[in-house]
Amino acid sequence: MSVKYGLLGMLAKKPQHGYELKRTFEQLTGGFWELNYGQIYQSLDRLSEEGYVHYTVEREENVPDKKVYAITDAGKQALREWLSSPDEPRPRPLRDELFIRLAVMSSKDVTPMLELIAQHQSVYLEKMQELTAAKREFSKTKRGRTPSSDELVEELLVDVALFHAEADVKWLELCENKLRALARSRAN
Amino acid sequence: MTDAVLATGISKTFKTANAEVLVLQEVSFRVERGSSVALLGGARSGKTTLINLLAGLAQPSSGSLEVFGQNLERLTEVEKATYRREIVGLVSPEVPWLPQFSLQDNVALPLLLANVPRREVEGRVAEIRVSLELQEVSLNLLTPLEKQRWALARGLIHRPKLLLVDGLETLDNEAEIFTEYMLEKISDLEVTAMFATRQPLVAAHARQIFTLKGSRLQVSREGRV
Repeated sequence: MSVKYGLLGMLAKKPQHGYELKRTFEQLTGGFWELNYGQIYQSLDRLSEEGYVHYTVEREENVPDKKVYAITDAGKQALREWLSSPDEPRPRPLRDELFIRLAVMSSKDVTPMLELIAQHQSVYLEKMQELTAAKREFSKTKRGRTPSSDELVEELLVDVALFHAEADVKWLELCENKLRALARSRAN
Repeated sequence: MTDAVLATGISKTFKTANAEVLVLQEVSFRVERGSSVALLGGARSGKTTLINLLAGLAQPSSGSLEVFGQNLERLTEVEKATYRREIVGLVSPEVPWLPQFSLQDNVALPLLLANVPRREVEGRVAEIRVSLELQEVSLNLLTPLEKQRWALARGLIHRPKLLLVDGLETLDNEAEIFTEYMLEKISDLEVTAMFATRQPLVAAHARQIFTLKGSRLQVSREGRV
């Protein structure tokens, strides 16, 4: 649901084709929400059927035709309604393949679990390095001036991504310590 | 060009009254010149031990440690003293401040002890105060963050090749502010930096992160030997 309105919101800023939308969406969500083309075109088809967007076909030599999508007046109205409709707050679901793997792994030998945890830790740490570098770029380009609302949103999304990655790294460290303690108590 | 640091299979054990404690086990890594490395690990994970080995303050129990092409265990005591004084810049709460001197004189001390002419010392101190934006205050009025900034000046004044930073946890929430400041300030200098931290948010500022866990070191891709 939010993907559909997310795309509509991005089209309200300027007309774009599918590939551009994918890039803008991922950029805006700090690289943490990847969309596949199937999701994008499915949402665009639906938006089109509802009359919220229309497209023009752009022809260029040697490349396939491109559909450039633009928001309609009905689309703008729908977007306004969605933005003002109450979004009931609820905690974000915790869904990660790692949780399932941990749950079904044999707890007799903790070594594979520790390896899995170490791999995840380095992935999240690398992500944190990327996000920190992105933050550094923000502050370099801003140099004290007040950010535009687009810049602010982008920065806030990088912040939330960073907080989440940090929480994951800390949780993984806790898992590791508890598993090592378990292994030690068994050895004694 | 040789690496800034090349560690091969270094281990360190400490003897207590009735046991041997293994603090570092078969640790290997390499650090490129000009890189910045975070040593990430919790309390008693071996961060300070590793920093002390790199600073030439302790010897590994086994393995080899090369810093800018110098094999540390082959150095004589005199050479090691020169290594500590010239190659390494150490920022650590273990390095005491002399309360009878001003902050500026504390910073100048390593140069004066190395017989650098007084006029040159004054010039270098003035220069580093400008580049690190330091204000002279009395030692006991310094905030922890200001004190750390002055400690950085003291660690950089002799233009070391390897900057080692320990004790960031004394800064608590300001560790990240300091780290960002430090890495920005040294970005124009030809110095390789390694800093110890327990906070992932702080470590994320470094170009490479090495994680210390269970006396072993998990090294990022570029840091593997």
